[in-house]
Amino acid sequence: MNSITITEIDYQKAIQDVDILVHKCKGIETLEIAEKLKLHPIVVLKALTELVVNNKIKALE
Amino acid sequence: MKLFTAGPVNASKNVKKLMPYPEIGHREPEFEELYKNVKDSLYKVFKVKPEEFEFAIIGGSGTAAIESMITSVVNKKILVISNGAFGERAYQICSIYRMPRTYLRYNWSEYPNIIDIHKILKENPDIGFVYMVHMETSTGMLNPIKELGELCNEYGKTFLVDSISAICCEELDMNKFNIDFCAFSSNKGIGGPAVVGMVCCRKSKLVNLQRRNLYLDLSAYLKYGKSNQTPFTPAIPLMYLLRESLKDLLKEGVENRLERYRRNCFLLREKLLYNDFTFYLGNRYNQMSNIMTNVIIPDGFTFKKIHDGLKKHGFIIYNGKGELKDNVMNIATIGNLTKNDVNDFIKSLKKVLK
Repeated sequence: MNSITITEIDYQKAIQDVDILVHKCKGIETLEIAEKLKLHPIVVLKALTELVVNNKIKALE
Repeated sequence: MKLFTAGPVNASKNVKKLMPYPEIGHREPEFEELYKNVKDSLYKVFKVKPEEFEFAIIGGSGTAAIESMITSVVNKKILVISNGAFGERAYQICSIYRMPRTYLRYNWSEYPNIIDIHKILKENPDIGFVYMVHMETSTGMLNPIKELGELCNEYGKTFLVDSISAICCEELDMNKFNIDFCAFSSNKGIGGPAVVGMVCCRKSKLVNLQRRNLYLDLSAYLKYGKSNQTPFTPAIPLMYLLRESLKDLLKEGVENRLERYRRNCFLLREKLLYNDFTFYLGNRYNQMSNIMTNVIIPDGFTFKKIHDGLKKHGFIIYNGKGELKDNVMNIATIGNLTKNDVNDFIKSLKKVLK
């Protein structure tokens, strides 16, 4: 397992940042987001999941 | 070369058209050179030294390598930890051979709890061997090999790992992870032809080997392997293909290949996510492997419909195993696949589901 530790506050911030970035740069990929925001790609994928579940980025694809 | 041998034999012209390699006898120096080449490459892939480790090259699938490893090495009680089809298969091998055994069986998709294992090892000093699947293909879960290796080291247990689906796909370090025996195959992450099973063996643990069978007797493969030979007729065509696959792998670099697989996998998961697919392991991305994405089949569709539709577009996927056969599709991103292939796959999948 990839052990990643992130506080709830940092995670909520990550979701917000990912949300802004995917709307700003349409088609940006997970690993690019991770690189730009200096987040672990798994955190980015988790944040994307939350955004998709909450219908915030569904229309992008 | 005209082979006046009892096998291999010269093939007909028709068969030869499909064999782009020389016809050689397996007891000849040409085969020994081929074998040595494969063996030398394996040391480079595993980054281990011949003084510490030996490779057994077995004619058979990955399961043959596992059966050979378990039945030859285990001479005391074995603890088998399973959380999917392939862990269960290993326990089945132990049962068929009536080996002394203990079973820690988790539900599929359940992540093994190191505290449970710690307790078992502490309370059962008669356990001499511990077995776990590195990456459970049936669920796509990456198991805690490193943590388990630390426990095995602490309790002095011999650690056996099935790394068939993890080789060159996940981090694998025999010394850092305290792995004593590791079964793998020519296929999967190595990218070669299927059906050459191999076992990487720690030399210091090659003591008191058992002989429970003939064809899968690991000690025979190791003994013959020292002089670049095999105890039984080898699959020469596959050895040629394996040599080339290892050459390609080393040219690309093991780390680079792992990174390519990881990138393709992240891309696939992200695209699936955007298209409302859900994963069998939910959002437990940190427990998912680098190569296998197991996806819940959407309502209103069957695996057959998706499979047949994708096949028309030139893509093949498999369904889940056992209890997951009707509701999960397994999408692997290994082999010679590119980012474009992943994007094309997603486009086709969308068309199939329209």
